[in-house]
Amino acid sequence: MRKGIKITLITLVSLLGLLVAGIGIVLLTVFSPARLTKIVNQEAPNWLTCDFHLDRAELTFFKSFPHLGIDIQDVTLINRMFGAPTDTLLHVDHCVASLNVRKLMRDKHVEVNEFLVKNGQLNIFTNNLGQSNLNILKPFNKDTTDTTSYSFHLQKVETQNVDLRYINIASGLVADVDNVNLTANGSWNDPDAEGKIKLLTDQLVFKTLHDKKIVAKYDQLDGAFEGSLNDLDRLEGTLDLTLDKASFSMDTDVYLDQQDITLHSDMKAALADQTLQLQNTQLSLDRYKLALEGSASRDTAANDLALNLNYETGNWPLHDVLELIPRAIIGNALYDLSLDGLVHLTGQVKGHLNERQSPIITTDVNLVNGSFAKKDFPLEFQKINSTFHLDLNPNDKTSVQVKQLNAYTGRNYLTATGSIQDLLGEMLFDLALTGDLHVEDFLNMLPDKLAHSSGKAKAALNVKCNYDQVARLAIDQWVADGTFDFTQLNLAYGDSMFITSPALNLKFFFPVKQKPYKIGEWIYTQIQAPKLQVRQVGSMDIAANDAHLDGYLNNLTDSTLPLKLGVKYNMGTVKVKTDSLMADLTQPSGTFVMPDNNQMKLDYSGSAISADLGSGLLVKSRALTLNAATHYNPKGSNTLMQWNPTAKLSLHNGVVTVPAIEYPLELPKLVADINPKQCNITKGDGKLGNSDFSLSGKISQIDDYFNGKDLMKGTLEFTSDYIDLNQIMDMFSGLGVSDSVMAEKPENSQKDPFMVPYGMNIRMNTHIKKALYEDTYFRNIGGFLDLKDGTLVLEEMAVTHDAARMQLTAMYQSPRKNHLFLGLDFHLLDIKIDQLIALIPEVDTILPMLKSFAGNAEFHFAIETNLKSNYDLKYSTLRGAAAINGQNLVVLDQETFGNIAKKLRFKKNTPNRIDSLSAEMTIFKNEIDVYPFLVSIDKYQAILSGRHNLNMDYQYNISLIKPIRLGLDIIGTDKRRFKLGKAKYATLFRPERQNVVEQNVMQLKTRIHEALKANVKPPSAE
Amino acid sequence: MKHSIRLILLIAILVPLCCGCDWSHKPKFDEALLAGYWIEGTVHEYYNANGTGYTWDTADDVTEEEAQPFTWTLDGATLTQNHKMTMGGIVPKTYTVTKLTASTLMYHDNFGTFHSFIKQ
Repeated sequence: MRKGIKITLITLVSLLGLLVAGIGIVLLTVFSPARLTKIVNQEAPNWLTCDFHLDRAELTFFKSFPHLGIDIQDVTLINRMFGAPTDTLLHVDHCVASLNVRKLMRDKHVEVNEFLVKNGQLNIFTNNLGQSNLNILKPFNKDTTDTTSYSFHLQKVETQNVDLRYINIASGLVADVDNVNLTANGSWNDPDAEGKIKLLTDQLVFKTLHDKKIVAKYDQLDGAFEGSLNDLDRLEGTLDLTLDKASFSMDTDVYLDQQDITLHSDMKAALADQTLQLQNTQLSLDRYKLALEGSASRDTAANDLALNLNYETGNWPLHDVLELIPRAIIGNALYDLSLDGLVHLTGQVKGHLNERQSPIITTDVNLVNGSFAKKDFPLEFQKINSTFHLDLNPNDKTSVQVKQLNAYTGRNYLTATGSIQDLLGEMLFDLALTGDLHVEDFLNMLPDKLAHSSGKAKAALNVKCNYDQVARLAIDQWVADGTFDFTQLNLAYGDSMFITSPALNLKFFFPVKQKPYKIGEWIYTQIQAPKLQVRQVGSMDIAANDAHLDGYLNNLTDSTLPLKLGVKYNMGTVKVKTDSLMADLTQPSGTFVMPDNNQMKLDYSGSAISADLGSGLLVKSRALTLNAATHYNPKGSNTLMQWNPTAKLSLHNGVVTVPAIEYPLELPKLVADINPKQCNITKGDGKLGNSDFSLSGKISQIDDYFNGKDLMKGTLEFTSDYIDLNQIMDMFSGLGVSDSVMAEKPENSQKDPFMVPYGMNIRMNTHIKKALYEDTYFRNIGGFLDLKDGTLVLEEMAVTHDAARMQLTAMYQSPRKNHLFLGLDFHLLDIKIDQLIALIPEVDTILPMLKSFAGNAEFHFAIETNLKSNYDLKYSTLRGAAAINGQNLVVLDQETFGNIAKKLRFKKNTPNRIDSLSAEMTIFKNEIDVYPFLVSIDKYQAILSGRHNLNMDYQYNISLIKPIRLGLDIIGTDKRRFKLGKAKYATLFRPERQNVVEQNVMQLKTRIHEALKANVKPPSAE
Repeated sequence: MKHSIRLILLIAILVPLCCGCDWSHKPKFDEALLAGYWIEGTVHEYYNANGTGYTWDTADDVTEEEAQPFTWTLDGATLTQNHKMTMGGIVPKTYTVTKLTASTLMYHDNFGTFHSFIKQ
């Protein structure tokens, strides 16, 4: 069996070999290479218009095995064209073709078993007239009646090592491709085709010949397309393409620089509509992958490309990707910008690309662990994690919608949401920001004057601004509001003002909507702080609890402007300390406005105040309302005149303690209107020591007083139920007196005398029900008290005393402590002489004879003298005059009366009563000259005169003129002596008998008497 | 009776004589000599030629600037000083001059108070 099979197989092979050999012999005989070459050369001119040459054409079996093919060797097509670099259109070493002739003849099916072009060069040239050297085929004589439909099948179409040179002068295009290796197979069954193409080339250089030179290169291309073409229109398939070291440039703009590109795409295209649909498209540039999906359609007529593409990237390192963006596209946008992080993009390219517009690129960006820094931008950000939506609209403005962003700048944590419009231009921020911040890290964004501030803050801000405004720190141009919850805040404004608080809530608003204070309002703020301290170095410390401030500030960023502010305040308690003031305020509220450094306005209302105004001046009050303002004038002569305060004051239950005054001044109610020019006291109820008073009136020319231009003037109404003059004089002694005067040591006294204030002209109309002076009480004191520039005047002061009804005009001056001046114009009406001496002991010194009498008298007394510091008289300066009128006076000195009566021969039972007395006297130094006066005692009339020295020596003369004339001299020294003589003034009271001396004496008496009584006022109705 | 007649005759003779005589004759002094600065111990008096003057006593710690003013007249030997009071009014003082030279001023009042000044 096996042998049979073996024999059979050997037989069959032998027959087959014989057949092949027979066919070969036939073919070599009928289609020998020479014969076949001849046939081709004979037929080619029927098809070609150009010259051609071939070395050899032969049938081949082995090269196209298992099919019979034709191998044409060294084929050259020559088509001469003017301008072409070469006449050769095509030259190939081998062109092998194998066609299934049987199917072509029988089935009208063109089946190309193989078509191979090997080792060739194709030079395509188109001249400037658009004529191409490819135009080498003679037109076919088509048989229009032949409607035979052919089908095609390409089993293998291949080029090997073919170089392509393309020059199109008309289009200005030049391309060289080396080593084109193309492999294609497929079939076409009219009108559909399908197949697979693989293309592998070496370097491509493509460039244009236009002025705007475009150059495209790659080192190698490896591409493949497998798909179908239906109806000769709809192309569908899968494209894979790899370009190594691809470059693309336009003029000097480099868009692609030796980068590897890969593309995989499932694509569909409609050739007639020029539409393209991409699916599962992966494009990568180097290692950066981009997934594409969508469609593009071209309108040739309109030169428009409509795009609708979705794309998604991998996680790109942002810095590297940005580096890949051609400068031609991104320009200098990245010049001073540092961006990094892993970015993932998904988005869409949608719109038309034509000469007028470009498609909108929308992108959802997810940035992880990013960073941002920009030259001249004050902050750098790290650890940026963000998702945001980017609308890149080349036709309009690019915008970013920040869905979420959190980042760190230094140790500060920030979050943001919002949008940035015109990202590539003005950069309009509309952001909601939160932050956990350290103030120290933002000082370079704050005004220079705040450069030494510190603290922590939790911030929530809404900001609308642009990049330029941020970069320039033009905060005033922002539209912003926000809240800062500060802790451990230390806000330093320059090196002069510090605001500190352990916890402070600040709300701010830009720009201000109202300008209530006309201070150039720049920012509106609301501040709440449980504890707040404000320190103006060297001048002011304020500590507030439960502070609520609601105010406006001027432009803090303009260092040329002084600080201006207007604040409504409401606080629990406030402690204020300045170089001249310490105050505790309870529940203060009101308004404080500082239009500039030289002006301040304060509206204040508080439930209590306790203030130390310096130099021991203390003020306490329960309820206090104050409307005050100051205007600083550096030329002012003192602090008061420099600050020019004005105030409307309403004070209840106040207490003022002045160090120079022993007792505090209690003010149950004080309503006053004060300004540098005047002080209007509407109501001033007070209590000072033992004294009470109610004061009202007006003091003017205060500024002139402090400027040394004029006197301070005033008219006051002073009423009181009780005044302790001793206490008050002690308290007010020396106010306003010059230092040199106050430095003088008082003589003979441990205590300073009362020194009258200078520079004032104040009239006080007094109504005092009861007053204590020394140990004596006075009642119903009414009259004027004038303080006239160092002179204290009691003008016609009416006083009621148990001993008398008095009227006193007095003048007191204190030019120096040891040289005081006292002048009295004193009228005692209906006085009891003994009580007069008790009331005014000095009267006994000046008029010692008065103590010899008892009874009621009228006493007029004008005297002036200088005093020592202990109020002792300086007798050398004593000047005075006195008049006394009395009736029924009792002579108390019985011994003296007895001696006088005996000497003048009075009857023994003559009563010691003087019926009437009218005497005048002058006082000069220690000399009291008693002018002659007439006394009537019983039936006797006598004229008394003499001198009484203050050392108690005296010389009196009694001239008895009725019933007899007799004189008696009484000389008192150590021992009183009596000496009878003649009557000295016998005719004095008889005008018709008066001599010249007596006339002069009487005239002087009259002048003295009238002068003394001239100032007596009639008794009031009281 | 004779005694009375003699007395009447004596009066009748003497009265006309007395009437013809100047009984009030006192020495007259040149008031020009009074002008100037006079000192008596601690008492200082300054007489201006225009009839004004001022006085002070350093024993009472009074300075010249604090001196008190007066006006004066010298009529024969009668020196009248009218001391002005600050609040109005005057205190007149009348003296009899007994000596007035270029260097010495002496006067007294009716109560035997004598003053002797040396001119400065």
